[in-house]
Amino acid sequence: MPKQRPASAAPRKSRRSILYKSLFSLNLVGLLLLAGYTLYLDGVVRDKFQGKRWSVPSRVYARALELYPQRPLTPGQLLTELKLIGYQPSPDGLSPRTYRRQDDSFVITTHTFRHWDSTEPGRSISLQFADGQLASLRDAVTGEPLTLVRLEPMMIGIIHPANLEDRVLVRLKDLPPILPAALQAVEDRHFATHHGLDFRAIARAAWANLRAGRVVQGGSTLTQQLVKNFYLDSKRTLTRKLNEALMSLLLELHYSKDEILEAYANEIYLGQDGSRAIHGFGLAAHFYFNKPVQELTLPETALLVAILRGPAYYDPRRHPGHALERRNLVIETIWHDGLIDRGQAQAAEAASLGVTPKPNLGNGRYPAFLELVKRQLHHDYHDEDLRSEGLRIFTTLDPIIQEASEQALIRHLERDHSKVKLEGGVVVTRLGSAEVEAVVGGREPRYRGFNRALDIQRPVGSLLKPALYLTALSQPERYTLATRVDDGPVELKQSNGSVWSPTNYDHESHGQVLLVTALSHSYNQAAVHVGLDLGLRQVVGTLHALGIDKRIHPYPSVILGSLGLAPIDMAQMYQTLGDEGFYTPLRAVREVLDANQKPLQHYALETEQRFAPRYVYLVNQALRLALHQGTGQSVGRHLPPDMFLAGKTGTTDDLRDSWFAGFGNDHAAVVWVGNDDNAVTGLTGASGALPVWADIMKQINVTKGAAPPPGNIVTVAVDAETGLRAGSGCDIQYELPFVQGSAPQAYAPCAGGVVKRSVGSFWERIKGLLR
Amino acid sequence: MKRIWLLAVIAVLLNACSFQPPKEGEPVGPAEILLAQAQEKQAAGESEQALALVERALRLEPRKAEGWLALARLHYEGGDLRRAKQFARRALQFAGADKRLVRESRALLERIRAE
Repeated sequence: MPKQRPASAAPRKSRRSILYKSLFSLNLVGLLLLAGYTLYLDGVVRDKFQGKRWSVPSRVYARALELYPQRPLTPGQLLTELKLIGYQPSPDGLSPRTYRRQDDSFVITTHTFRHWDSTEPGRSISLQFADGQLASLRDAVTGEPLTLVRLEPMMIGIIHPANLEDRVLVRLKDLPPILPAALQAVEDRHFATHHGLDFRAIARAAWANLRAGRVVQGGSTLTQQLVKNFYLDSKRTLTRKLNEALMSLLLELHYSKDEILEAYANEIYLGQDGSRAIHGFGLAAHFYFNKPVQELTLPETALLVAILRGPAYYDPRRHPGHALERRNLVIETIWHDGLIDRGQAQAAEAASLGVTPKPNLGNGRYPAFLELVKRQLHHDYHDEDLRSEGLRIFTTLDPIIQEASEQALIRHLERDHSKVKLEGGVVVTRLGSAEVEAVVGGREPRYRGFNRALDIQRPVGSLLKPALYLTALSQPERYTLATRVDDGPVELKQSNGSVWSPTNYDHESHGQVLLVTALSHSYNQAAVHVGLDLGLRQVVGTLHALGIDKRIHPYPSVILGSLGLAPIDMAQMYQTLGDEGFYTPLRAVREVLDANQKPLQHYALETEQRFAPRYVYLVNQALRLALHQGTGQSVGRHLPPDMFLAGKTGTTDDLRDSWFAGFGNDHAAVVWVGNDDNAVTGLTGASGALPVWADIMKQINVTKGAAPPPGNIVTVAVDAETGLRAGSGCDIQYELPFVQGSAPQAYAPCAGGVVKRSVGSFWERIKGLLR
Repeated sequence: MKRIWLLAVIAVLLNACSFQPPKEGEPVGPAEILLAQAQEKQAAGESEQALALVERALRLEPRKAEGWLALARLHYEGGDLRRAKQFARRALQFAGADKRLVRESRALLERIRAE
């Protein structure tokens, strides 16, 4: 503030120069600030563009369906698979990803797919079914017989980054040439020549907006639109606009037009699928047309260009009218620009939108299985990498078996017990490869909730008994299936002084029974007697060797399954039994490919022999018997006998948990049925879980007949009463397998007493062979 | 060889349209074809690919002793004796009455034991 009133001209002049000076320095500071800010923005731009520009979610695939002549498969199962992989019916089945069905024959045109080990070329195939199998497989064009064709696998999940963006990366050269051309014609006419901003377009837009009195046109270049997408939100402030303009100029300075265009093609927001944001043309082509971007037709390409102006307003599924109008506007524009001729334009405008029904696959159809996949992958991958590295994960899920298992569980839970809200869990595995083919986590399989297949810890009851008897039968000098065991009452004093006296399910003691009967009828008292005779540590050792990882305290109650476990644990145990003593860790993932389709990891098949096949064979024969004459007979009687199913019921005290576990020739399966709050269900293993199990197994086990027994096994008819060799005078006799040298030598009284008859023995053997 | 030849004859009988009988030793079923491809890959030094093909064959036919034996051989050649032994045992389990396969599985187990 001046102290004196100034009056002279000289100071005024100097004051002006001060003003200029300060203005100048202010400018300088401003410029410096601006330069600094520009440098900062430059960093941001480069960072966004260069660094990890796009996080690409990982995609999870089911197993690919292998087709070959004589493969057991029904037309219905094939149809299920085709629908799940998103193939559409068409009049001739000859365009990619379509099929035609006429009763038992199909024509399918597959699409090229990069599997883990090789690329399966797309082709048209014709299939003929007969007698529950694929009778013939031919090339639909040449008619040549084909030996083996793999379909594309179903995509069963997307492991998203936190922002829920999804995309399929494309390169510029993958786009149909008309796409970038149409894009420029409609969105940014001077893209090829401007430096990030297009002042003519801005002026034109401003004029148009002014005349209309509202925003009707945007003057943003593609570069600006791309920059806009770098931000997570879409605020419209002046600062933001200036920032975007500046960043657009910087982007153009650093990168070529092609790079910018490619980035745009991958970044642009094109739609919404629930919480999943559809970004880029690559994914949009799949999302709207179920095909890769390379195969888009002219009207489809025009539609994508139309949609990007406002993916909600121009959503072709919700507002086909809006979409059609704008698509045709796009077609008009590119015709006027000479990019297409009149005929093309007319044909394109006449075409329907061609949008496929929204694929209901992808994320979330099988959340329970996906959970198992994530658990296996988390041993080897960080969550962050799974979410952003664009991995392709090939799993073991068999959608046909998964769907069959889900339906079986729901059907039985709803039909028989609608008054109570029963729950259930199912795991199905493949014998041999130990691949997990289906996981059902509850009666609402689409709901990502509590996973009863993996996470319940419920007492498994008699499901552990095969381990007990395997321990016994592994000592053939002491135990055979014909050994008489005591089913008398048990009283065990426990460490706390109380007395534990388990009883049989029917509350009766059966005296001396054959071991095979004790197992097939699941007698508790006999099991405890045998267990104590063998030693609990031995039994626990067998449980571990069968594949139960959990710590097990060697309490007597373990024999009767007091142990809390999940269906997946039981699946591992019964897998080892079904594989005749070869332990193979269950797998849900086969292979992982990186974003460049390079194999990253192969989860190779492992196996380890833990038991001699002959001992396991004895146990399995008893489990087959259990299903036909023992605890499982109510349902087992109705199962086709040539399926050779074997299994064990599990029922816990007060009928809270109902279990069934077992296997056929091809698959093992475990079913649990119970209440989430552990309330009484009133169900036994046979009345709750077994019908579900049988329903599934009937549909999926296809190999008929008994597998040949391992070496060193002989079959001998024994008297049901004494366990000694039977003869024609014995009323009830069992044909039982024995490890060579362990079969009873003596004859039962009904077969002529204790006298050894070498001749008779010979003839009995001949008869046995002929039987 | 005899077995494969027999299979080939059956395949011809079943499929009247295929007038060209496969030559002796030529693979007929999908699993055989995959195993033959695996052998080619192995010969070309692509053992990872070979492994994948054998596993694929075993998925089609889990009880195919040839497949398990092929896995055992792949691991044996790769120097993984532990796996080689386990897979050879599995081959033996499924070899059943096939004398050639029993003999070959036993021979491999013998070689593994000797190392």
